[in-house]
Amino acid sequence: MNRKPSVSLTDTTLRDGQQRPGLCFPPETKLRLLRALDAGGVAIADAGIPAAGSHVKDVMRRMMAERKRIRVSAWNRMRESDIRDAMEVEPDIIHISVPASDRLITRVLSKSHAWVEASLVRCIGLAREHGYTVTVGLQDASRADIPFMLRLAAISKAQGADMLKLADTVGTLTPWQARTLIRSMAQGGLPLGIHTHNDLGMAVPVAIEAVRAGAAHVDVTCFGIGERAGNCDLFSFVECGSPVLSVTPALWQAEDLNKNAADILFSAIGIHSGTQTEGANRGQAQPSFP
Amino acid sequence: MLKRKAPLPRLTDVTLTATQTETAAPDAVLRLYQALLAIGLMVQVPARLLPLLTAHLVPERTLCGDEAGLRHHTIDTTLFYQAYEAQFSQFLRQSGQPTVLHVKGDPQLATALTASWLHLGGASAAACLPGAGRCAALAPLVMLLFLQGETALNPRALPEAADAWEAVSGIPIPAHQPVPGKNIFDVSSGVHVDGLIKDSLSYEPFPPEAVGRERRIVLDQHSGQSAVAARLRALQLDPGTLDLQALTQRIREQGRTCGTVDEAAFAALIRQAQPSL
Repeated sequence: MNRKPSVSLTDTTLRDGQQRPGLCFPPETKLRLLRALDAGGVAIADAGIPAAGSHVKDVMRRMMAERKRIRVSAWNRMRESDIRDAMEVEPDIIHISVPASDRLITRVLSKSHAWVEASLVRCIGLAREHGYTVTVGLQDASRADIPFMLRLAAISKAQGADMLKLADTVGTLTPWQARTLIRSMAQGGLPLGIHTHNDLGMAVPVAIEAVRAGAAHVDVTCFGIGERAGNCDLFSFVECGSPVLSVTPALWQAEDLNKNAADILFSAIGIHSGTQTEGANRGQAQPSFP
Repeated sequence: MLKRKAPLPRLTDVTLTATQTETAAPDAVLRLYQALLAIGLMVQVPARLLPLLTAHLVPERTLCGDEAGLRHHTIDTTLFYQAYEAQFSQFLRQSGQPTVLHVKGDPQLATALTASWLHLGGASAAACLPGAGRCAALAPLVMLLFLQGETALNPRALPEAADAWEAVSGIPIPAHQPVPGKNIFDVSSGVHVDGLIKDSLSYEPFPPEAVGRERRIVLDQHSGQSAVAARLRALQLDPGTLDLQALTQRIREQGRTCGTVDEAAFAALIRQAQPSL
């Protein structure tokens, strides 16, 4: 009998989720959500961007003091100054986000592959020098060149990174493309994660297919909140993935977490969660973020 | 009912079949039917609505009841947990006639299965607007096919179809619904606004204009100087005449307490920064 592939979750509600324009969670809400995620069996909280300022560093320090099992990850652009900001928080994980597609590297940043490779060496090196666990995220991986991403994977592995996350930044991956992407990048020799967006209404099945192809980690947000059409919804991923995946948290934990997260996040924006009904995304009764 | 010589459109809309239309205004139902046709779809219409649409019916693009020469195949989303591509391929090899696939169940899984069916060469598939039923989501599939070069589709008609469906059903489409959501092209993140100004496809899957929308730069705690400068230019103000860094900082601070910095608040911050304006 085939064993189900195992997968753990990074919740990025407090970082990528909160990038939904106009959304702002107060520090106490962030701490309450972290406690709920911790109790709910989520492995990692992508909890904020320390380089954004002291208000983020302060709340992340409190998270570090309060966390029990969950690991707190600090998100960074591929800049040494960002890594230094993150180290002020002393997080469990320093995550470095790397522009991977030519569209981002040349058209947006006016840089080269060589610049990306050299910057990655420096940034991982800085964090590892200070003893931090490092994860690397490849931005716009769904539109990037596989051989170049394999070079970045090799650099990440050689510099001591623990995981490589592939971000479908614009949410256009299909299930079959996700499978090809993961199988291609498995040659890089690092554990893989997937970060999906819901622009084509398939963030959950694309993430499931990525895990079936070999990804061990999935980024999610509570209620799928995030920029544009949002991210991979935590509860939907666990519910839809459980028949074929061994997901941590288990479905019963995700149900409790979903209720707790609704209480915490809906009250933060002045809405009683009980008044919400699921929107058209899923077509059944469950809380839905407005 | 109909004799069809032209190729079958890849998507068959079943919104009107899946929506309770008994209490809807007839002109709203007609508006929805016409909007769905404008997208370039085959539209399935329940028999009860035919009298209402008779004068405007486009027979070659309308399905009603059993269609001669067309095979309909319904599956549920539990197929996602099996070797669905192999099963689709086998079905397509063995099936001797064009088949419209209907997938029922979780909308995300239904959308993924339907996309795979079309990718593997399925002639057509059923989908509906969000909320109309537990089936594949129409708008994302329209965009997926459009991005793959399906020129017969017109995604710019999607907002009109979404508005018409809201009028028929009385159910609002969530603002962040994939594709037809009204707020999906709102952007505030400093990095993303800067990237979109340099390259309009850097942080969006398709241009807002492709689906009849516009991008809106929102000012909040994530805003960067590029976003603030763009908003100033939209007000015919020269960003070079202000301390952009200080203004951006105040916007971020205000965004941390009130969420979005609206137009009035932005105007007040500009006046604080330069009272002569």
